[in-house]
Amino acid sequence: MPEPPVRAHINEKEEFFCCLGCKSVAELIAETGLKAFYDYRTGPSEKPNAETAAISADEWEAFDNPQMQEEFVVEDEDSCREATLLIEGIHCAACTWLIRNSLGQFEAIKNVEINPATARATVRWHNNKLPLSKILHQINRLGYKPHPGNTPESEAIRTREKRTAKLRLAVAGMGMMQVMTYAVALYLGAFEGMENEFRDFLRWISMIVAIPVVLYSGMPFFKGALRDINNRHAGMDVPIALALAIAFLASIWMTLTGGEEVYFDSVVMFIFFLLVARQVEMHIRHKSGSIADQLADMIPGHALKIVDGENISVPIKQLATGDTIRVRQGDTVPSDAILLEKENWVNESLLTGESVPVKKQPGDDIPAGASITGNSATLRITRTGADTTISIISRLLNKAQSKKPPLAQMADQIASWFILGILLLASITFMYWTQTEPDRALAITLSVLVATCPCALSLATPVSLAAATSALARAGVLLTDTRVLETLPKVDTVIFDKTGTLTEGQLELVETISHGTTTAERCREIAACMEADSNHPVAQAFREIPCKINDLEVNTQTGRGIEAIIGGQKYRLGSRRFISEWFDNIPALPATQQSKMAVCLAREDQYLAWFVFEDPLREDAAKLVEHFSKTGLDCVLASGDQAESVQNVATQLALPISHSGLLPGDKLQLLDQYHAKGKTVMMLGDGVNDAPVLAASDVSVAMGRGAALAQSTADILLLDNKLASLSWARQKAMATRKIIRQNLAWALLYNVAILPMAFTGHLEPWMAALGMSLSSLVVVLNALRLSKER
Amino acid sequence: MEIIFVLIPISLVLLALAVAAFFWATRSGQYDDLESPALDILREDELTPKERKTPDA
Repeated sequence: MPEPPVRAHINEKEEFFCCLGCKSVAELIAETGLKAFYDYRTGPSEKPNAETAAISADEWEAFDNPQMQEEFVVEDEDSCREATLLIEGIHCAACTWLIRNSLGQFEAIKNVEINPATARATVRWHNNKLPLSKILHQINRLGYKPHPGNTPESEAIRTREKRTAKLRLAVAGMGMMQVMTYAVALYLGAFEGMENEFRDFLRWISMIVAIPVVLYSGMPFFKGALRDINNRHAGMDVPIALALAIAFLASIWMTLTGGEEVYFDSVVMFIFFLLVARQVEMHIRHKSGSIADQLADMIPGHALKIVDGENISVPIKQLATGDTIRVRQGDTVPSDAILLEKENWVNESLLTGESVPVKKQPGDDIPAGASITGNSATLRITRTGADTTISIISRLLNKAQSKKPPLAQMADQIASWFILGILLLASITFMYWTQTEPDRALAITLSVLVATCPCALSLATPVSLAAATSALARAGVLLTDTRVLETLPKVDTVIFDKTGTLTEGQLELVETISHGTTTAERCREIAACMEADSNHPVAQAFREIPCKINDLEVNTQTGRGIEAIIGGQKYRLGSRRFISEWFDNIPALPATQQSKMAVCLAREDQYLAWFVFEDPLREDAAKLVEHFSKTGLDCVLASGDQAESVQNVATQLALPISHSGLLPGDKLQLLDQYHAKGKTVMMLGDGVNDAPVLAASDVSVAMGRGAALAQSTADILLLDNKLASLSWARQKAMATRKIIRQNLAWALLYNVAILPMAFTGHLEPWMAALGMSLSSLVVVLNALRLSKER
Repeated sequence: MEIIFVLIPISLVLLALAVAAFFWATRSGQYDDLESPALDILREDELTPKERKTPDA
């Protein structure tokens, strides 16, 4: 491997680094004795670049201002403060370990807590011993970028939801273990004979333990059932709540009157299993929900407002239309604005998924969420808060999402009839037996209720969905809505977006056309050195090539190109126009490369090379299209790009139908056409302008690297960007459908078979309870077959 | 067998204590981050001789 140029001595060993940024981070880590970081981290760290790069110490001093701190810092007792931060660049728990221990070495730090999943940190420190700016600077020196973070409401709600669910599960679990122990004793007693006083005692104890389980852990079911009844809808919660209530109340009655059977064990066990299934579901829902929150975080909390020529830091909320603000290179624009003064380049990938910066002239609109790639820009605000483009899109999406047709309604319908049928049957049973053998009337009615209780039925679907969802999540396919597993097998049409979905979304160097004596390799090296610190996506294509040139001085002329002095000679890298300022006879690109993005390298006296770039297809794109076509799905390409590049991709992937030059409205129209034909459509997209179409399609898929807003509205997220996972996900969905059908069939079969036995009084209630538990167990075990990964 | 009249209530008291402890632990956020503590215990003390009190500028 070629030798990187920067060297340093770390702990008496000579190590090599790709750049000075990495070297300083490594030195800092070694100095503070935290080398174990390298062992713990699960992947290479982000290279400090212009965006996360060491911002000098004094730039952090603005954060010491108490007004600044109002938003994200609270004062504890005796000059102890607590700050909530969002730290950019955290990949895994090792990163939090590094930051925590690095900060922990300062005496003034009382406590540091970082959540690796949400990248949120809480720092408690003595403000009189150490200012906040130094803490932020230290985090920055390690290669991360801290931002003031205010916990969005949804995050607080989610934490509470998670904790309550855990508590309920714990109570149910512990209660269940106790009650089942007593139940074993009671069963044995029923066989072998047990004195009444012991039997009653055990029943009372079971009841006491079961009460908090039913009332606390079981509360969600009762609340859900009440809500369903209020909406005149017999949902799955109704039979569950009914079964729980009747079994519980009947058991209490039996305990008080010394009756036949108690069912506390069935009741608590049922609650426990159902809670487990819901816990898995909620966990997955939360994981995808936090992505939407990250979108909110991308809008910075503070901005620099220009007042009387001075830059004053103000919270975003205080910005008003007409305010003039300054946004520095690499920072995010906080509100819709117009560019003032000179032209600049902005990165709108948050909104469009396109990483190529867009050139903006003074007077051009810049949307909130875009980041400035050129030098710092002066902007005037045109719209704030809820009126910004991004907020409007968010709201439209929320509306579109709530109208999405849930296909699980049919299962609910069947369940409603079933439930009404059971209630009717139970009433008939009671009436009949009260006349025939009044002693046994209640016991037999209870047997009927318990036996026909659709516990297995109501577990059948959720448990299968949960098992499949978690298997998919572990493989990098995140489902934000488990119902998509039911829709996925029904899909007959697939619409693909191009850039970022079928293609990588990043530029790759495909050809170097060099001229004269300078080799292509040397040209590439020169270009790589010149682009080493650049933010431009073209620079990405050169990242792989190490720069070994030492005598180098680089001068980036934003919007035009890069000029450098190497070994005393001037070089330029940029567009044809940039080079033509030196000389005119620059050769044209060969015809085949005309439509692609190209950049020219020249020395002051001579043209050296053309570099041609392309956004390459993802390696598994062809396989996915092939697989879908073979299974009989119609594949369509719909892109906003020009006809030539779209046609190129369509031919390469053998896509029969392709549309180019589409605006988001056009894409939506295309979707409507298919819907009008009665098709079930799956849409794969990437950018925010895809978001409305994604919301309207039957199944929407977003790439893990795409625009955050698209991600938060998609049904399926391909976290590792592997398109091939999608075909596996579809197979999984079909397997899930099969297993759900098996489960439903089994549950119904069981209920139907046991019914006559219960009705005619041949079924002891304990048998009914046992049967119910066993049939539920069968359903759960069957569903577990879905948690196998490929 | 009358002893179970004493033993079982005692076990219930223990159970209540366990549940209370779990409530406290969950509410004080002990279960929020399950990944980082695993790494904490692995750290060997590699502190340099001069322990830092304030950061360098």
